[in-house]
Amino acid sequence: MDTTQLLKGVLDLAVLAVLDDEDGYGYDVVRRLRAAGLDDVADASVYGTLRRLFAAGHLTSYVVPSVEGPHRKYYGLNASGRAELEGSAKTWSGFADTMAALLAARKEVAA
Amino acid sequence: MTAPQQAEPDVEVRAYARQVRTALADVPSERLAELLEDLEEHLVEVAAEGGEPLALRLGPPAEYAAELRRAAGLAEPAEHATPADASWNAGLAAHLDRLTATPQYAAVRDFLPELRPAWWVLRAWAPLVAVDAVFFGGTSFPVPSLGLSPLVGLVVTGAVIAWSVRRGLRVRQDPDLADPRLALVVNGALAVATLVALVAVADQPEPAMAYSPYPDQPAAELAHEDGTAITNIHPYSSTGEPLEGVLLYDQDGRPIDNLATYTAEGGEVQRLDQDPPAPANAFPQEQQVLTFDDRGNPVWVRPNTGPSASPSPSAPAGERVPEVEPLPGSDVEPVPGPAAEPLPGADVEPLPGPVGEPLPGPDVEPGPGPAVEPTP
Repeated sequence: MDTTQLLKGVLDLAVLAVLDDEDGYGYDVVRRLRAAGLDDVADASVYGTLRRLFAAGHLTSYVVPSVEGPHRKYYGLNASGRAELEGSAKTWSGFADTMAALLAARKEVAA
Repeated sequence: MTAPQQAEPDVEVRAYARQVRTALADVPSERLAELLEDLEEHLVEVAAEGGEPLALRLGPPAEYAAELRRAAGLAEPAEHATPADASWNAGLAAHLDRLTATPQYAAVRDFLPELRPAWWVLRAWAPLVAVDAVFFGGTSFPVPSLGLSPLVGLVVTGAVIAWSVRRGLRVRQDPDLADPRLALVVNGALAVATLVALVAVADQPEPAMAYSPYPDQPAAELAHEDGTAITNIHPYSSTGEPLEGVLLYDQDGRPIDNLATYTAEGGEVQRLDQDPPAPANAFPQEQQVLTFDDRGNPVWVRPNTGPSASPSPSAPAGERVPEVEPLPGSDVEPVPGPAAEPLPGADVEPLPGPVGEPLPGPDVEPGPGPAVEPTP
């Protein structure tokens, strides 16, 4: 099964979760998602997701000047983002439980 | 945040970024700017990790663009972007990339920014000249007056140039102010204006000639159809009698006195004063013509009056000497002498004649012409 297809549905949640830990800029979020095990996440997807969440009002952003490199635009959760994270996390948990139960039931049948 | 502050992104990054932008060309500019604001930084960061080319690590630029578009929740590209267009664009982009990878391109690219200040001035001045040329006839070059006074034109031009340079400096300092698509449109329009201004400059007439359609045309002088100058008029009666002191008027009653002032040979014709003074339109006139003797000295010669061929067969042309008589030394009159002795053979008589008498002129006879009875 292609995990990129699965990722599409949960990328918002994944990005919100990463930013809930700590504010981050685009490529930093990409790295942390990969470090967390989402190896197949596409850079462009993360950047696009950040833009969309920001446009939806779930994120704050601020620019951090950098001496040795380009300035970076950092993103963080605001109240709306935390609420969104909360709701999405519940939805995901319910969905994941359902799927797990479904697969567990099938395993029991097969066994 | 956007400006690559330290190292310029290398050719690969810029080529990749441009292709991403191309693929997103249909996105409204303000959304696009927001969407791509840290694209270059991202690419630089990925490239800095070393290893494989960007296109392998991130996928082809078009795919990156599509992914970005999808994740950001933007509409799919417009229908008209057919696959044929896409492949054509891709081919063009590949050519551009090859071109932009050459050192010559790099040299030109690094030099061009140095010319920016000149462009700032040009882009302010040229549209004013263009507007001046198109709407006000463009008679005030190089400082367009815009149909107002030159001072106003100078002030306006100075202000616009100052604004343009200020704007240029600010955008250079903070590239975030620049909206690439807007800049493209505006600079394109200004470039067109520059072209118009160049044409206007090329068309610029000499200031002195600006209002005269025939600048080299002197006042009209009498001449024959073949261009031979008419320097004098000798009226004759129907019986062949030479008339004197005949006043000539045109159809509006204006005196005809615009004789040619140079003979066909180039000699200057000077009218001699008459006693009593005759009007300028009294004919024949007593004249002298400036010629040169065989030693090249200027000599005033009084031409023999009278036509070379008599106007009527009955004219007593017998004793007339039509040619200019070569004058012996004593007769040569150094410049302007009051009408001297009449030449032998010339029918010049200090006139008691028609001149003295009031002739029917325009003052007396209002009408389209002097009331002269047509001679049958």
